[in-house]
Amino acid sequence: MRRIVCFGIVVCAGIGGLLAGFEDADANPLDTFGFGSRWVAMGGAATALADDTGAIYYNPAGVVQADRVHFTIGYFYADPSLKINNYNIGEDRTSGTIAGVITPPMKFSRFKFGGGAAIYIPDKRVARSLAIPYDQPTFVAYGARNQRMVAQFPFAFEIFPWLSVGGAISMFVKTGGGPNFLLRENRPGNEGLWSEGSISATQKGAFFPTAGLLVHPNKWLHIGFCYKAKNEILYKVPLKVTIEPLYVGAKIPLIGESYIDMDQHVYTFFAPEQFTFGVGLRLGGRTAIGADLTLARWSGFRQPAPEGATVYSGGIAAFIPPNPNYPLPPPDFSDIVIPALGVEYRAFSSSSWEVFVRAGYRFRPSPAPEPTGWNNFLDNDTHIFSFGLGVAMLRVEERLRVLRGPIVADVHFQYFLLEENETDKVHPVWDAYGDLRYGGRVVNSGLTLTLCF
Amino acid sequence: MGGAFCAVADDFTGGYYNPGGLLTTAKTRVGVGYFYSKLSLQQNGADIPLDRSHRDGAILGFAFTLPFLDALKDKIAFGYNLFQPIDYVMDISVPQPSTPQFVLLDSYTKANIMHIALAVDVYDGIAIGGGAHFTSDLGGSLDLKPGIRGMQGTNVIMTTVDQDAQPIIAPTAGAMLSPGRWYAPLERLTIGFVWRDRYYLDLNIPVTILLGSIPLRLDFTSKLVYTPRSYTLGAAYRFSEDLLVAAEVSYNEWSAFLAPSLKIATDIKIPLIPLELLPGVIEDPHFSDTWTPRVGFEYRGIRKEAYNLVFRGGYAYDPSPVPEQTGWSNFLDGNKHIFSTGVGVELKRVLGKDVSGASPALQTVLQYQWIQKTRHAKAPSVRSFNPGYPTITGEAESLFLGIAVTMEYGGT
Repeated sequence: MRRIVCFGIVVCAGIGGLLAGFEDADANPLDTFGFGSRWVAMGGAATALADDTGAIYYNPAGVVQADRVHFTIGYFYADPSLKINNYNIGEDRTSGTIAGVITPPMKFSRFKFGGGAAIYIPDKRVARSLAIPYDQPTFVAYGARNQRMVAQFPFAFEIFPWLSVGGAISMFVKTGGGPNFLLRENRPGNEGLWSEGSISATQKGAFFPTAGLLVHPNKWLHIGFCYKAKNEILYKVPLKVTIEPLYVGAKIPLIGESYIDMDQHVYTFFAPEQFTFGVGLRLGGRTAIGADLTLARWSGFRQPAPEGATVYSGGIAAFIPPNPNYPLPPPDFSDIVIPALGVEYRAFSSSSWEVFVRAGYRFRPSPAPEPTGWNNFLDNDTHIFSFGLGVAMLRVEERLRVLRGPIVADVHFQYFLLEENETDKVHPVWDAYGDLRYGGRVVNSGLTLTLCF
Repeated sequence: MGGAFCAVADDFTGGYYNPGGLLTTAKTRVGVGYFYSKLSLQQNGADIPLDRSHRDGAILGFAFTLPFLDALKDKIAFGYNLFQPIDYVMDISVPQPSTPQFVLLDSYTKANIMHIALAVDVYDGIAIGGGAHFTSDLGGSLDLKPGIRGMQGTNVIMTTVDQDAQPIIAPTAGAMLSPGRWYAPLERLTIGFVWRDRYYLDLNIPVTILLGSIPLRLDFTSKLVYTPRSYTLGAAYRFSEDLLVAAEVSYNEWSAFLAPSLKIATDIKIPLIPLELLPGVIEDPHFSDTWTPRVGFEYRGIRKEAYNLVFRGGYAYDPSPVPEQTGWSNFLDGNKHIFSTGVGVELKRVLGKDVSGASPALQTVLQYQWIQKTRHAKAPSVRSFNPGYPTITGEAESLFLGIAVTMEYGGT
């Protein structure tokens, strides 16, 4: 039965497009920056409104609202300027290509079914998993956490014309296993020999669901709900080294065969469990207003620094002290509530063109406690302002003949303002980094192009 | 059909076998399947224990023409295929270089493969396509310093793990010709050509271990799941509506093979003590290029009102690129004979309803691979504790079972 379930999950994860069969880093860059210029410009307040490829990320129940094939491709570039004690730490930028497709809904009796795929491909790498020591200052919401590929595969059903449900699956990869080394000394008698190594590692899929609900009580009111499961991967890095007897210039072995057995593990790829409730208003065909409220359960955040033990045995054990594992204390993050508000206004309309202006605001409180102790997990209350423009080309079939249209181009600009925090350490003398002042800003801009077939 | 599909490529797997074949039909093609394979490897007549003697996984894919209108209608097609093992995404097992191993056979099915393709109808009777395999490698570093730092009265290990996965994109290209468009007597003939670039996973991880205050540096690299660059030319002839015969030959550039064994660079410096560790090196495997012929047929032997039965068979001969193993390594892969057969059930009516518009079908396949026995004699310079000393033999066989559900609908 388990294999059947696994097979089903694998199939679901692949249907609709590209597999997220790639490794990921801490959390989800789309949680930070959003998906699609239209909805980013509206502050991400799209849970009740998204009816295009944006629905794949914001609320998969909206996928079935599209009445034809949508294809979206875009790019965004986010440049952080984060400072600790007035020093810019040179945090990595996040930039990459997004793409999404929605298939036209298929009808079974009175039910409608829709699907699609969305993907974010970073410029630099498929993924980066960076786990640094517990006491090294790090902004937990930025940096390596956003350096990863993301893919989602949604499906949605319209049960009644006023009620849709949907889901999506994303797949990460967890790695287990590691290398073994047999090291030999370069000495007389070892001619023709080398050191040797073997590796045995398995990457397994880890699946994380998203579920959504969309209700349309009437033409102008839309209500949405979206649940996103917690993401977290346990990454194990075992390593074994065998060192043959060492002669170090003598004629008899001075150090007997030695063994180093290291077992490191780290929890990574964390994204909090999220519950989002959204309301959308479409007023008079010209204005759309969205409002979202998200509960993000950061209390489930485990300390992300590597932990482990190293055991020395054999000859070298007499010279090197053991390194047992001392469990690191939990980071004690808190759950947060994130409000978001967005507005879209159709500023110009003709038989051939439409122009939209958009604006949005999101407030993301910090889930991190004040780092007065040994850990330095940093985060700030963050105000996120956004605005954007959209241009839709209508009557495409008459003009280009090869496409039904419309063709829509959207641009966005997003500004993150991190309120500066100041922390006094409990033990400022013993602490390697001392008292901290930290804050900064992030600027994100991008564009998307959507073709409707 | 023995894999002789480059000049056919008309189902949901078309984008993989020949990107140019995506436009063979304007119908949307969808398929999902399951496979099971079992390996049996022998060294000197005794079984080699395997971590995974059997593997299974899912295969799925689709192909469709993009819904453009007018001049671009049915002129551009897209295809996607995924091969996904059930239990893992990637299974890496690289033994020590001297360990007897079937380096080619055992690499099979160890990693998921995603392939996308796009085809364009460039001229009446000529379609060309391009595609790519996508996967990722592993890089970064394991800065495993068991550094001891005082924290609240205890000593705590401080480690940095920085792993970087870079994308690997291996391009493919293909062309499908239908000469009957220009010369009517050849209307039953199709010709296909496919080029696939080589690819492999590049493992490159430096490790630093702190022994007290002495750093031991181990940089290890490996090239995994090597797949050679290949060129395939094939032809298919439809003798009747019910009988299709296909043949093709591939040229495989195995001479560029990179052995997966770990290459290790060691570095340790201890003041006043003359300790030097040996590196781990890899012998050049000296593989040879090979030619692989394949033949296959498809015969719609039974036609009933509710269903058709389609019978398929094929054979391929895949010569081994591995030279005699006279040195440190013990790669035992031999010449491979691949026999395959299958049955397809094409449904036309289900529960009295006409379903021919969706063309649902159930496809099955059984494949047997026989790897001929090889014998290798070591050179005198090889030390006696090499597992292949003084001689070693290898033999293997593999069984592959598969089932898939396919549909075709829409189009013209």
